[in-house]
Amino acid sequence: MQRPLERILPYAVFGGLLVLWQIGSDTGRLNPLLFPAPSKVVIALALGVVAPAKTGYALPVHVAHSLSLLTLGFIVGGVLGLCGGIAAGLSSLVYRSLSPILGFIAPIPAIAWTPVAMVWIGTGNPTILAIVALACFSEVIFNTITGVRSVPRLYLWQARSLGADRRFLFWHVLLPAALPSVLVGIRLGLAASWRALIGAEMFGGVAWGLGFVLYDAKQFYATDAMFAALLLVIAFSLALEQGVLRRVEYFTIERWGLARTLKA
Amino acid sequence: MRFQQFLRNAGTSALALAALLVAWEIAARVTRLNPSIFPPPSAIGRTLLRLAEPSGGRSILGLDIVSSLLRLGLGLAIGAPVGLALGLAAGINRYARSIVHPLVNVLIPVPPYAWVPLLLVWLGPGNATITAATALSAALPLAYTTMAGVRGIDRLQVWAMESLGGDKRDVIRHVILPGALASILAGLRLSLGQSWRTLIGAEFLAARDSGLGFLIYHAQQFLAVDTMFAGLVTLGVLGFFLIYWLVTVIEDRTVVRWGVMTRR
Repeated sequence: MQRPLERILPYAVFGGLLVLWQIGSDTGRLNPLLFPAPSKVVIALALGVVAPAKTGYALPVHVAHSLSLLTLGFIVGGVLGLCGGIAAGLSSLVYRSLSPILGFIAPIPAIAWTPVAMVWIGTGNPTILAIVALACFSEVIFNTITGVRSVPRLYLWQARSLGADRRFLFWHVLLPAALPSVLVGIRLGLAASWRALIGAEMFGGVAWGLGFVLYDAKQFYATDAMFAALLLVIAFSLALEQGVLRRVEYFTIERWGLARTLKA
Repeated sequence: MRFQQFLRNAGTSALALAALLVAWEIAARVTRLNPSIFPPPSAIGRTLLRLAEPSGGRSILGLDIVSSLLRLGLGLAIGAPVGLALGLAAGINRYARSIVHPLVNVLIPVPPYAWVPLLLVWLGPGNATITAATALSAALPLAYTTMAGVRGIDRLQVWAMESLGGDKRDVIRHVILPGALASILAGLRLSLGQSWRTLIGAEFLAARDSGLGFLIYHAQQFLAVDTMFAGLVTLGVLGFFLIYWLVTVIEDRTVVRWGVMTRR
């Protein structure tokens, strides 16, 4: 039950702001260096795609670079977190040994390790990869531990009393029951990886990636290119959130009836 | 029985941590790698003490902690009320919602570090940029959860209040605020975590002379990994108290005590 005004209002407000920005920047009321006109930003975006030589930033290459580092780091961190989480969830000895270390790592932002990683691994892609993986790892391992530990003992006893062996127990009882929490971890892990990637690309000493473009364009006050990169970051953040994460949830736990997401 | 179990768990954890530290210490000493790059725990401890020690009436670490906490506090003091107001407005008024909802939905998955170059261009390096980035990261999650919390309130309660003669103010004060408080506090937890991460990232890029992020980042110029670790340990301890302990205490005093939320 949306009222007509309700439907028009956001377009009017955001459209109006854009128009004001454009006019202000064109007439010089807004400093065009600090507030480049939307049209200039679109041109910088288009040039970055079609004729990178003119802007200095080959945006598709930067995007591809960011996305491949994200994928790789997410997979490495996710697999490590999953394995560690299952081990710590199953064995209380592993859990008790790991918990002080994990408790120490949890409140430290992953990107805070970047300087350490740069000294140990050297500047460049491996450092970014390590930070992205670390960011994903800590989210995944926490939620996996929670998931595995909160599987009702009754399920396990029941399956065992019906003659299930350890292997069956793991694949058909423990894992499905822990899955909603594990998926939450994977979801949070992907978001954390993406955050850490953008941060680490800014000060990780690399020459590629969206984070690099943001920071490099800032250094040269190429604000139109900076805004273009920011637009791309926003677009990919939305695409990750809406396109990937929501869909993964839909195809797994929602379909299997394990959880229902709230429809806004 | 419970207490004994706790002691046993804590004992294993302490033992594992001690074993890790001893192994690290021995490895660092035996391999004779450059102690500046692979510092043993004892060296990190010494650095931590040296940084904390007041020299000339001032302790470097104390100064960094204070300036980080001031920026975080200021960012929260600006961002949280803004987020709360936006969320409440969007929850109560459909026209406000039609503007705030798309805005928050688009901005919330964006890595907060991505705003730092933009803020650097607008506000220049220093406290203003760091505080603004922190405030932004505090406002968004809070606006989102507040909006969801207000929307989740049972209509019947509002009608009951109105039929008992309550005006709009009574509804907000006695129905909407208490009803949404659990969501608001959940949002506050998210906001704290997010602005804590942003604070450190922004201090990497924008701090001029102090802050824990500044300490860690600038240790890189001297390859002083012991200083970085001293900063990371401080981050871990401070972050734990801020993110887990503080909000838990607030929750216990309010929503848990009122029976709106139960602890698992």
